[in-house]
Amino acid sequence: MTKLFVPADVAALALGANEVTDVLTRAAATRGLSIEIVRTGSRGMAWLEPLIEVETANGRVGYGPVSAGDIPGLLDAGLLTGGAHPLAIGPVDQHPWMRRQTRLTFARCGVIDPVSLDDCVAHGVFKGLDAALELGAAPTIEAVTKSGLRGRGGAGFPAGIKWKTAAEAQADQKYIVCNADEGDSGTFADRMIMEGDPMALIEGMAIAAFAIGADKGYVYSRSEYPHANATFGEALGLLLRARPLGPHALVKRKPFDIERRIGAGSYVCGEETALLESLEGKRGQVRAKPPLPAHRGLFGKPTVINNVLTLATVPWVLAHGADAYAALGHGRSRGTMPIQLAGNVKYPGLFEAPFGLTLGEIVNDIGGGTASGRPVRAVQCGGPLGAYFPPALFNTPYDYEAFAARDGLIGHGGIVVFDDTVNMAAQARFAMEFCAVESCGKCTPCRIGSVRGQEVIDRIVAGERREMNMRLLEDLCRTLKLGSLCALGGFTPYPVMSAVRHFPEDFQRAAAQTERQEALP
Amino acid sequence: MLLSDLLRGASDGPECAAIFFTRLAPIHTVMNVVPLTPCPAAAYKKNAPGEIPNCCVTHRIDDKALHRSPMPQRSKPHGLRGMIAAYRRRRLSHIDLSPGPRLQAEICGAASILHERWDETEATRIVDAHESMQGALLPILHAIQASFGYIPQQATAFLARKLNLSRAEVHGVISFYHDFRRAPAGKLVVKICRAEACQAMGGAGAAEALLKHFGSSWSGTTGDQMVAVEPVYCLSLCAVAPAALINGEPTARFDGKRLIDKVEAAR
Repeated sequence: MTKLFVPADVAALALGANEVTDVLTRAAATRGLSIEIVRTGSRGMAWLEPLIEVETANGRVGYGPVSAGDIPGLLDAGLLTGGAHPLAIGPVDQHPWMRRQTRLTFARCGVIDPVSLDDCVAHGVFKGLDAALELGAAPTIEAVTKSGLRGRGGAGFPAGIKWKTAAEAQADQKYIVCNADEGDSGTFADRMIMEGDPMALIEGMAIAAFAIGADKGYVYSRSEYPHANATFGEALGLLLRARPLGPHALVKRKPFDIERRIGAGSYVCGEETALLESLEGKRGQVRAKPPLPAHRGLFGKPTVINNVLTLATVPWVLAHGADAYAALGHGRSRGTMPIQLAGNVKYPGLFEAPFGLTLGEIVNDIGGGTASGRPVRAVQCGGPLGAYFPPALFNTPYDYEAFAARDGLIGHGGIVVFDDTVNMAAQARFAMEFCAVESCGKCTPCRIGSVRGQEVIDRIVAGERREMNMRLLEDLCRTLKLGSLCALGGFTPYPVMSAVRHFPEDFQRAAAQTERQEALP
Repeated sequence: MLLSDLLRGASDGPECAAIFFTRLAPIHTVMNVVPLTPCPAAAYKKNAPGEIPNCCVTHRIDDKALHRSPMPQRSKPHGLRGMIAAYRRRRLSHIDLSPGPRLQAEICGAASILHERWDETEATRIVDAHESMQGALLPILHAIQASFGYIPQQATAFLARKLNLSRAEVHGVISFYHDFRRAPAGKLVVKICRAEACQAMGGAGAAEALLKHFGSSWSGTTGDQMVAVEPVYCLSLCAVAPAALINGEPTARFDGKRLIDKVEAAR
């Protein structure tokens, strides 16, 4: 019996992983070969998907990207014994892309069968929880604080401090909420965890619950993630059936239950207070802070709300010690960051590395430049609310503070690459358009300013009183930034103003073209 | 009731709330996804291969049926057990099989819907199934949309009464979220990502080509009510951009022509 691994990650499915599995199963049966196919998450090498891995004496050997038509040739070449073939990439762990990484959060993603409890436990799931239970609640929080782990959702708030605040709050009921509403374009790490290693997330939530004394957890996911939701639900169901390991008994001293909720297509619900409103069954409108969710959160009770990546990293921190995690990183950004390379890039995918690589290393060395082969013109870091960086700023180290110092943000770790065909005035307009579509409507600058922003950019592009409208746009962005409660309105100026600042020629070029056209009879 | 009848929408089974199928599969995976009264295991055993069990899927389905080991290839699933195993193997479903009120349809792309008209009994059953949930309005709305295909107008007053809310509050929630439709969708829902990563890979051009092909517009349906093209902002397929969901099935790295071909093939 030869064991093969084919990702069931939705990115692999989109490229035909199910067809490959079907054809492989049939071909093996016809040839009388004894195989077992395990569906895993993705290793994160998106350009190699669907990536088939074969268990051999030399470890797991990879082949990709495989299409259904490649299967007969692969079997002829000795797929089951790791035979040579143009699609072979050798042992997957030894692949240069994998070797350069420090995989902590994603150590098991793409390796294990996410919905096999035996496989998960064999790969170290629940070691972190065991360590936490042994340490006790307060030392667990202490360890998370000491590790320097910061909220991976974008804000970068120290996780330990958030936990401590909630732990100290007095209440009959506390909640753990996992923010899995990963709406940022260019990001897919949360989804990959939910599809590739959902147990890590569940374990992280159980640790958090134990630390602050919560007995109920919610995972708020997106309706755009049907496959991730199915896998996560399956993992949750698995634990539930496999008592005493089920969520009810995960934390032996106190019951803990997790419920999965699905959003309904609203981007702003990824903002923590809007998410809480949505969980309560209301419009996803942002709440003013204070009170902090750690004091009065879900249903008015103390709530810790953390991103998927934050919670999925916690078990590693507990299992390997806070110092081991804090030893990695750069400046005040400790540990590793799952960087997501997307858009027009030759080697897109998930790359987990300690903070401190420069943006240029990430885009050019790791990403290999653009997929189209044209020069890189701009990269947007941190989702739709992140700034556009020109190649001139590629020496910026990947670190929360260094990015903030250059009017940008790391956000959730997404990096979207654009080649030189991009029109930055159109991108700036899109940022305003997106803000208008997704605004919850609570703050006037965001609700109305985003619509006015589109109009102003349209006028600039049309060459209408350019100087005055430029000043107006800048003023509008300042109002948005200072007058909005949450990051949607507050950060929309980042992509807009970075486009204006770094790519002014696009606003002029468009204007010049229009003027020329107007000059024609 | 035969599978083919169900897929044609000829069913009158009041308990079949929503079905899900995909044409990419060699078989049609059909699931009844709203939790009803738990049915004894015997109720589905007697169903002939390929037939829809006239009962719901509940968490009573034993672990063996949920086992994910590779299945021998079959042209047709055998009973509910086979269908679930097929679903397991292919991970095609948008359906959560975890117990209790969590068991609900996740609507992404359209399923064929059996309740096209407002049915208060059905709605009452949905609300009752969520009784133990705190802040259950969103899950209830999802379940109603899974069952009816959209949120019927009558649902607003009904839910306000049932949940002790004002009609304005219920309407506010329905109208806030992009997912909730207030009119039936097309039979085939194509969700195309319009966010930055897909823009960087020519997603906008492909989407325009598709809209032009159908003479349709964003969020509108084609003249024959068959195809609805809806914008989404990020499907998390940014590393294989551009991306779309065709009735819930992911597809990626397309240009205009390939997208049109895929949608036409799915029609």
